[in-house]
Amino acid sequence: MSTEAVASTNEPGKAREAFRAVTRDVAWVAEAPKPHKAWVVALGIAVTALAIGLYSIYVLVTTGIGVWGNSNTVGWAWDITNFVWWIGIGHAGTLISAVLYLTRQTWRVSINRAAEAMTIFAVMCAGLFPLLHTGRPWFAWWMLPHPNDMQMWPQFRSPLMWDVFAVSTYLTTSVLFWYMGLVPDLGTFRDRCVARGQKLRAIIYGLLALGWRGSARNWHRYERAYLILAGLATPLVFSVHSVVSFDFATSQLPGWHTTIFPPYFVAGAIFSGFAMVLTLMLPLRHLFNLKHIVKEAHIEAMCKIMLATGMMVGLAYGTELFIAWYSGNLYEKFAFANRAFGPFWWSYFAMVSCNVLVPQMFWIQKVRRNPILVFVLCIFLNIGMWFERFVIIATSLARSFMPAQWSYFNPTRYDVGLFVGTLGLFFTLFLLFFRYVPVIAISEVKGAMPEAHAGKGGKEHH
Amino acid sequence: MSAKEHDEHGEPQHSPLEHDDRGQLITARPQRSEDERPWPEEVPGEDNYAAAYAPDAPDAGSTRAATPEHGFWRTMAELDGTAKLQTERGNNEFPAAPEVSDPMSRRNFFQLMSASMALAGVGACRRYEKEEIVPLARRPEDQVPGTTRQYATAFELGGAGHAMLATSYEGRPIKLDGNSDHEFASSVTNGRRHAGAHTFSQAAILNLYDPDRSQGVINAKKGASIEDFRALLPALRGKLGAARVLSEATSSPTIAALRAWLLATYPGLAWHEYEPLSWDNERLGTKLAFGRAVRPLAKLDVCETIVTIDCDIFVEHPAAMRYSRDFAASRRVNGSLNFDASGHGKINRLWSVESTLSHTGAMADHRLGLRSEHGLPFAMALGAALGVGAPPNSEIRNEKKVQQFVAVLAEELAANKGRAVVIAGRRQPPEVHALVAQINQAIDAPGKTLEYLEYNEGSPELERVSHVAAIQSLARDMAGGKVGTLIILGGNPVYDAPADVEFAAALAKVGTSIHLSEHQNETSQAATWHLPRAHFLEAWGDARTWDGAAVLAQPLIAPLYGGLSSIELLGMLLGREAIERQLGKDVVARLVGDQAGELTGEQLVRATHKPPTDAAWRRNVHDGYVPNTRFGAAAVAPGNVPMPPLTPTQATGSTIANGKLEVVFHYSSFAYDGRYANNAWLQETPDFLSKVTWDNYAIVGPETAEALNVRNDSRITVKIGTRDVTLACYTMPGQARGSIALVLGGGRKAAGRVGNGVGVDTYRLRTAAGFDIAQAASVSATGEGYTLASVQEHWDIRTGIIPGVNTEGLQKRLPELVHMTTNQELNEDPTWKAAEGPALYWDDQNVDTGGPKRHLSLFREKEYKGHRWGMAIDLSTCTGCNACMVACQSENNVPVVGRKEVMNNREMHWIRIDRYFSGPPSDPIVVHQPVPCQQCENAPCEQVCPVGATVHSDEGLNDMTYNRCIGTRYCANNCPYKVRRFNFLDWNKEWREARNKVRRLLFNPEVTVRMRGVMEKCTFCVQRIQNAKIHARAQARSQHQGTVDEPLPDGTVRTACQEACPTEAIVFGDLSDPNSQVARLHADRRSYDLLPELYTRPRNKFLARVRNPNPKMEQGPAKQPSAGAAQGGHR
Repeated sequence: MSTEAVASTNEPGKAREAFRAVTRDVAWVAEAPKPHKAWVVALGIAVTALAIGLYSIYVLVTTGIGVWGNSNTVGWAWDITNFVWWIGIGHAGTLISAVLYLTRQTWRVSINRAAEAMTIFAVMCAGLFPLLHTGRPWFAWWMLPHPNDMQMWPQFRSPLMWDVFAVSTYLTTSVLFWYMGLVPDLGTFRDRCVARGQKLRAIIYGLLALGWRGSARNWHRYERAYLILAGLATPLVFSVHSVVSFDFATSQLPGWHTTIFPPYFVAGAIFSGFAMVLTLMLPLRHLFNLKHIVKEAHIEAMCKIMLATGMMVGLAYGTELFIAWYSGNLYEKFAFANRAFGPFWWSYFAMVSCNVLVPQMFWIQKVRRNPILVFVLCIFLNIGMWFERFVIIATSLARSFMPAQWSYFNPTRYDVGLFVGTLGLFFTLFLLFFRYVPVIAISEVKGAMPEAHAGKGGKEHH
Repeated sequence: MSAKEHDEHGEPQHSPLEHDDRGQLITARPQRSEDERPWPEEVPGEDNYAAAYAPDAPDAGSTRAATPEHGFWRTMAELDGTAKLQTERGNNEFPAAPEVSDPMSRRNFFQLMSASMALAGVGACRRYEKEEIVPLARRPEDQVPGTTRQYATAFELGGAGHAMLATSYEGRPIKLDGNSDHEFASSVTNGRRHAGAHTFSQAAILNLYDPDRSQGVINAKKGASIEDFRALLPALRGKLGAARVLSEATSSPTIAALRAWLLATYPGLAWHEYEPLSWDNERLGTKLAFGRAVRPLAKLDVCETIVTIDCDIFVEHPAAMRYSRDFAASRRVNGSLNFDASGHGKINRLWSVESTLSHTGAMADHRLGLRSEHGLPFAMALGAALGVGAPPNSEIRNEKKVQQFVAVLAEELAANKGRAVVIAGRRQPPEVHALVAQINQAIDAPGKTLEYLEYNEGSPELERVSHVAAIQSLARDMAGGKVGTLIILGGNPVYDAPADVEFAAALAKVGTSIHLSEHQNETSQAATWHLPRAHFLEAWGDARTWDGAAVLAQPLIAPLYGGLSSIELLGMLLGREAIERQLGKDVVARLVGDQAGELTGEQLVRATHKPPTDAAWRRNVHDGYVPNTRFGAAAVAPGNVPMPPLTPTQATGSTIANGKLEVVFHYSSFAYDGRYANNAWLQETPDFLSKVTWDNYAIVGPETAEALNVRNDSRITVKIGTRDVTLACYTMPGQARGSIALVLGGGRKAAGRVGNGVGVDTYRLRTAAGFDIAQAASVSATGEGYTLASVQEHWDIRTGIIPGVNTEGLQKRLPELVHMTTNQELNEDPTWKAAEGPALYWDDQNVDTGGPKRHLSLFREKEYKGHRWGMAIDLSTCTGCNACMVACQSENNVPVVGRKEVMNNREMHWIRIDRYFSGPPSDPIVVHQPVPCQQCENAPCEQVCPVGATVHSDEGLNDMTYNRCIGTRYCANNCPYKVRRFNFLDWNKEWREARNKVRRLLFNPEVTVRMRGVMEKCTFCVQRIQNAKIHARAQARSQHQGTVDEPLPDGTVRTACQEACPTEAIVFGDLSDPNSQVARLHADRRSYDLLPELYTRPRNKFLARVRNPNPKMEQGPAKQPSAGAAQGGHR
């Protein structure tokens, strides 16, 4: 029995039609015989970017890290910047799915599926960098604890080790969570394919739906498991970026060695994650006519979160500067003075203006309710967050303790190429996801619709 | 099969010549000359050098872009420019040389060369004898496989010999060090003889394995064989009566003897000697002062006041290694006789007057930047103040700075009679040297702080004209068609002769010109015959150290490319009959036995030194020197020498107009006079002061630069008369106003793949008249920029919106990094300490309760039961000579990265010398600090490695496991000292190319050659530590079956940098032995940790630099480096 059928038994007539409309509106994206032109163009661009990335990886692996601009002084630059940036983007998905689920924020249902997919793809992109930034990536598996003849074991004191566990746990949980939520909708897709006589698709969706029948028992188990996974995923939202920030916070380097990093990084991650969700959803919502599902109120709510986290990030910038001055530590003071006024001043100011000044626009309701403006501002936020990571990593390294080793960083075409490549990978996967997988959590949307609560005094609260 | 047959056939294929040669070399003279060795003419194709040099062989590319596409570092456009360059890197070992090179010069040259060799059929590789692999059934006597041996040898540079020790591994020399058995090359400190060696002598070993070395005879631009040359000999001998010989400067007694025999046999023959960097002025000066040439040699170890006039006594002087050691002996604060038990005492004071900031000026307690041409008025003023001669009629004397300097210095010299010395440099005219001799007489130096040495009777040095005059007269005769036959022994006059003698044009008019040279250089290409010259490790030879002691060189390896030594060539020219006539038939018969034909190099050397017995000769060869050959003391007193009238510019003060500027020629710290241009180690060894690699440049002072409106990395045109040269400018703090120094050694066209096209040929501006100091130069900015590859100023620190941020940040931290004090402070304040030291780490709360002190640490402190290796670096005696850098490179197989990668800040040196300036740019204090891995006990790198590739050893070393490293670079990011070096690219790629395989013979087998993608850093020469331990254990076991770790006496393990350091500024040893030298230095009050607040607890401590300014000098520089020029203040 399909979900549709379940719904229809409850409330025939108007409600049933409303539920059907949701299913139809979401499913048509996947069922349209020909993809949208914009989709084809976007996929073409994304695949091209992916190809650039693959070529950059080929050159990188065969030639060495020397194809990048990194040097003995600036050991990490775009590689780890991109890693942290992607991980940050990957934060919104789980936050929306798990934290907002637990706090019963029903407005999340219109975006959680896409946000979760975004999380997974972003973490996949992020995962590429710790692998590829090693001098000998073919040995990167040595970071995994595995039994071996020589009894060699990873070095657990290293924050990079913690990263390996944090990121892989996060990816696993995110994938499980996402897939779990997909199961009822995959069942819907399967049923619709059967109805339309698309056998191959029906088999594929059928296998993926894991025998979903929409029975009360199915639903009961599903709800329980979803809650448990939400509970498991929630701490990860906070732990992953905290652990990533330990890469820097536990080091010696002025500008890295800062105790506020874990909350600061988490706030920044949520900030950039929401910005990326909106960057993705706003055009799609427009192109695929999903405006009645992803409503302006949802966008507004997200803008408010970005305003809040943006100000947290701003507070962190201020705190860093204050503590550097207050500490009286020669090197710490210098690190921040240099960051703001030294040769990398442009990146610092890009960061502050994008992350602190731009979100102030969200105080204005007209701005929050203007999707085009929000989209533009979100692009700025994404840029700003990239610069934040770059500022932390590169400027601190370029001017550390020994002035004789002070240096600068210039990216090469392979630095850019790999970054573009991960953008390509991300968008390729996202576009494929959009075309073949229910992009909006159909069952959850229905659950949040007023019709679902008819007769129980329920009212729309999304 | 007999043992002998085993010896002949049973060698492993990769070391064909070790036991024959080595066995004989170590204990006895060889009984067989290299010529008799049955080298096959053909060798398997794969290793074949001719094949590798074939026209279609891939070109390694080694010239840099002719014009820089990117200007200053400062502009944003620079970002793009660099990005452009960076994307192209990766495929070249020396990416300094993008593929855009001039298609004419280099590629065609190599094609020509390979074609000519292919024609000649001499391309066969002569390294490996093809043989079957048959394991040795019995170990040859005295051979322990896998161990190294040291042989004494001698290195000569510019007519000064250096006693060296060559380390050989299975028949291939892998390292050169100073000979610590030699009296002149070493001295005793702390009961141990220590030598040290400068960069050039150490790096000379790389030349041995240079794949670009000349590999065959060339005649009329075609390949020929040595047999062809032999066939020419009878005809050549017929022409020798009117022939000329042009030799590079050499002190070799054997060459002197052969020269005498040649002149006796062919009275019409004329012998000329030319050297581009010559100390002739000193010799001629003594001739002026004393009536005959003698050699002054200062004894700096007993000096209290040392004055140098335009003289770099630490690197450039032929006796520099001796002077450095002696200077350190009278400068060293602890363990020095100058200090009494309470630590009170006196150290020497160094005064330096010079135009270009040198190692000596950087060490000086008082330095006066004066144009070199002012050397004469300065010396006259100083002399006059001491009662010698008349004061000069020059405005410079009235300048306040000079006035004060002269007055205080003269007063100090007068007070320190018998304990002071004045030394003038090679650029100063003979008159200045003569005047200095008089000043030295006036301050009672001779016999006390200064020796005059008598040249041996009949020494060419006694009568020789100056090098400039020699090449001038020779070139005049050549141009006039008077020279039919010219034999050039070494050197490269086409490149380095004064520009106005037009040597190349003159050479074209010589009928037969024969050039013997290690490389087919510019002169070889212009000569009708080129003969490959054997490297000094391949042939018998000898030389004299600066004090005249004869040192011997024995071959450690058969000539890789079949070269001849100068001695062999001269012997060949003379022929056996002529030698028999000179030496006596019986003497020759005794030497050669029943051998027919020419005398070998060894026989000629031996005939020169006339050892009384075979045993004595074996002893001499073993020791590397012939005892009691030092020049005798000369009893001379200077006469009054009239001073020449001052030139108009000498009469002016320090301000001088453009067009009247002075140009001096400066040796290159990497290419010397150009001869080491193809030596990649030296090319990448940064100049101590400019920190520039892979280039030469014009040094301009800050005021001059401002007046001329040029900046660092501007391209400028320097013009004298009708000649001009355009090159990059380096604005050096302290460079005298109005003086431009041009660094020699760049712009080679036929140096080899490494050195071709590196830098600009500055010889084009050097004329016979302006050989040392050229006048009336004008400088103009071209408006272009050119980035010099610096290992330190990778970026202009004054960029940013508040440019002062970085300068200020630097100045504030400098006193924390480099501690300085003065002799006065040390004496007046017995409680003075460079650092609080461990107090910072100790929890004093337990003190009251009587409990044990404990470290304030979150970590469980590691306990060390055995050795605790440590190092101490004395900043008071480090002269910044770079010897440690080259030693480390040689010992640890440290790769060379090339110019572009230096610009990308990827140089690989395991020990670097940081250099900062402080004080006003016109009169800076140079602050420098050698930085190896600090081997922290709480190493920040260790905790962050995810795979445990860098771990702590039981002896406190921070070990690096290359094959575990995955290259996250996290360790380097977390290293506060930034000593870790990452293999960004495959730096050793080039050595896998067939034509470069020979280079791999140089690798130290004890040290892993690192692949790309792994981190590396200083190991405290862990291989030496382990070897010493293994040796001690093996010995103990053989004696008393001991199995425990044997104690190693202090000094048993010596790191490569320590061994090379001429001043013993680097001390290594076991901290668990409280009496070890290093433990005592760690306990010294001058010792401090770098960045102690990080609690890394370095195993290396620095000893604060002690300066000794004269209190009467007003400027009295601060004891701590302070605001001012600082790093890159000149940018």
